[in-house]
Amino acid sequence: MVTTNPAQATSGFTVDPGSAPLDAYDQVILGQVESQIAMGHELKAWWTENSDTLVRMNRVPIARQIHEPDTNYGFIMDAHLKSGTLPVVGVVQDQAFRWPKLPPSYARDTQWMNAQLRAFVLRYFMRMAGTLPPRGETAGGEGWGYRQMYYKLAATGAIGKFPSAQQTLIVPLDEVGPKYSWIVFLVTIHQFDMPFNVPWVPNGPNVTLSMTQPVHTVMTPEFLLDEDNPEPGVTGRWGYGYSVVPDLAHRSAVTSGPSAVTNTIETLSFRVLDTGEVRAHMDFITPQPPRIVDPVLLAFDVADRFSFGTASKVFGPLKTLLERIEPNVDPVYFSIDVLNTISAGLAAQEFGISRANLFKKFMNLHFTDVYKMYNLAASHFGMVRDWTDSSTLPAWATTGVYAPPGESS
Amino acid sequence: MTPPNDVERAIAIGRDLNAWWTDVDAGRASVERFVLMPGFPGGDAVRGFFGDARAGGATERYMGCACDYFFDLAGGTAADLPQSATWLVDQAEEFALRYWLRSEAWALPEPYEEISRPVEREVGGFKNLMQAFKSRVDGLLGQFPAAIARAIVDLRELETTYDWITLRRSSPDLRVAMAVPGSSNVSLSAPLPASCTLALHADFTVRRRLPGPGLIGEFGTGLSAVPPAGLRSLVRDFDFLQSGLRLQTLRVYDTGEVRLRTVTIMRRSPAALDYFVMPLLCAHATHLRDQMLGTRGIWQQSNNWLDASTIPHWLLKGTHA
Repeated sequence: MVTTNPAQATSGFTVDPGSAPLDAYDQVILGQVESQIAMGHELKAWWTENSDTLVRMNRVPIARQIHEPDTNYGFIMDAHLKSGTLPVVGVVQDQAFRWPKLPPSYARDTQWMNAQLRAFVLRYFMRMAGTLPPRGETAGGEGWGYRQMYYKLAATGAIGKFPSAQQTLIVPLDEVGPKYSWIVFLVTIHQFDMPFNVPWVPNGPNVTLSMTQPVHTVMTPEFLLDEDNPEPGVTGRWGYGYSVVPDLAHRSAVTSGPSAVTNTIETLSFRVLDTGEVRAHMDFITPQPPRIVDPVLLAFDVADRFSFGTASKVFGPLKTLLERIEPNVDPVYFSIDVLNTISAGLAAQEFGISRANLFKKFMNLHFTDVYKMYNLAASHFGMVRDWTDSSTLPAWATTGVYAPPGESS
Repeated sequence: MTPPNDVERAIAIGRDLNAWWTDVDAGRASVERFVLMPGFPGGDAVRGFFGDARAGGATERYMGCACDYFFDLAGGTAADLPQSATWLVDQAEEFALRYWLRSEAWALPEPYEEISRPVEREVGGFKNLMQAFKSRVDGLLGQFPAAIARAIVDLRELETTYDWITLRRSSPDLRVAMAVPGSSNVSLSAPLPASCTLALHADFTVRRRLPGPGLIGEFGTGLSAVPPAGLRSLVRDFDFLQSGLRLQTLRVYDTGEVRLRTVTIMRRSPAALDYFVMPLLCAHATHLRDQMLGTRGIWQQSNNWLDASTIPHWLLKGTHA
């Protein structure tokens, strides 16, 4: 359905007259926003209360890193929320972002550095967190690509969709609050690849499953970070966060993929230390997936590959029937449980085959992707001397789309 | 141990190729240039080239690529710029000549496994191991002990202590990948065993201050490939770098910007293999760019490369971890 008159009320909300037309898909996404905001705020409150106490007590290592003091850890625990108990997993990471080189005898101008980071994070980071790599015809993205998709105006409560020409022109994030009650971003996480290696063969052959999927997220003022001197040794901190909005129209055999998760929050923040170093931080909290794979979709996916797509067409009614009656059994969890039952737990102890290790693998995947994205964005941050002077910024920062020299954006 | 005569011959060829490329840069020699890959943030378009060069007493067909990447920008305000740029020249010299070849291999974050097994850390980039040397003092040949092979000597010692040094360079993360037919999201990959021997000589060391307009410093080195004997070279040596030269320098501009320039010159494959030349050069340039990102990450780890107390311990010791 396409809303031809954008001012009309639809699906229980008022559409902003300046909105791009909303179609049925937009309605599906928008229908999830308010509930995920509520859940995200509940999770954030729990995180604020427990991140330095219970979470740290339950932390597990996720990745080995050599650069000190870069850190990371994961956690697998129950979050006791007002709405009930939610088994969650998550990952926390902190890494160097930039250490501007200056002679040691120079007094660093912390106010100037704060202004640089604030401008970059709140105005340009989302436009420059991803790019096309120089890989010619095999180009896929690198980092994360952000688009702003939907908004709710603070003044009127009207909801709208950003016209496509404006979707890469991410608004200053400190407008979330004064101007927008919320904004829904579409995040494309490039190179979200899960490698499956041959056990005990470092650097050996592997099979890689790409889980690159667009993810909708909603940011509210509660997730905006805009602080001067937030704590001793830190001269400023800026960042943002959001709740994930599931895409109910996206069907995949991997049911725990990025597009499908609910009740999930992520915060990304950057801070200037009084030494002049800039560090990046990320917190990610998501429910323990109830299942990993949809066996019916997986079976038809495999059958379609061998039949050039005819299996789903010929056996469509059977597929529909199975989807309705399938027991909520996950073949991955089932296999893990069976292996550990018949081996009296040896599968987990000796070979690491357990649900916990599977969760850690997912968290490592997320950690690695954020790690690479931060490194890429750090190189972009370092290319400009003064982020507060819009006249000296690259066109890419202004348009949100990188165009190689000689090509228009 | 590589026969010394092979090393000396590789250095002679490298010297000729270095002179040839200097002429190409100055417009005194011409090559056929073409765009291999479009520009990207911080990097101009990567350009490939074909050309004929006289090296080692013979004129041969050569090919390669030249890349220019953003590396860093001096910190501070515009008012700090003249002094900070000058200071950055010393930083670039120290990093390029003392630490660069150690930092071309870096340990990637890797999953923490709870099951007990010996950890063999995955390393990205280029792993350089010193092998042999010829003394500049008495002309004697020697081999570096394995225990210090990763702690590549300061390249300024090529002007005083060593006539030449050989490195064994491998690329642990070089992989060949292919998509599974009928699937856009499943791929198979396998490591590509790849290594080669490279020679370092003072004639390739770049150590220049105020080398040209806008440039206030340029530091780096050239690595001349020592072709291995026999069939092994056809199978295992990466980039078809049977003989050739790799130049890599950090250039510091008076704007406070530091840029990395790399030029790879390699023997052009036989005409029958021309179909594979472009993908080969693209893969080579992509790998170089990924390697550069890793090395730049290490450069960012210290805010003063002249102060050993701020330099990662593993880099000082040359241990990778």
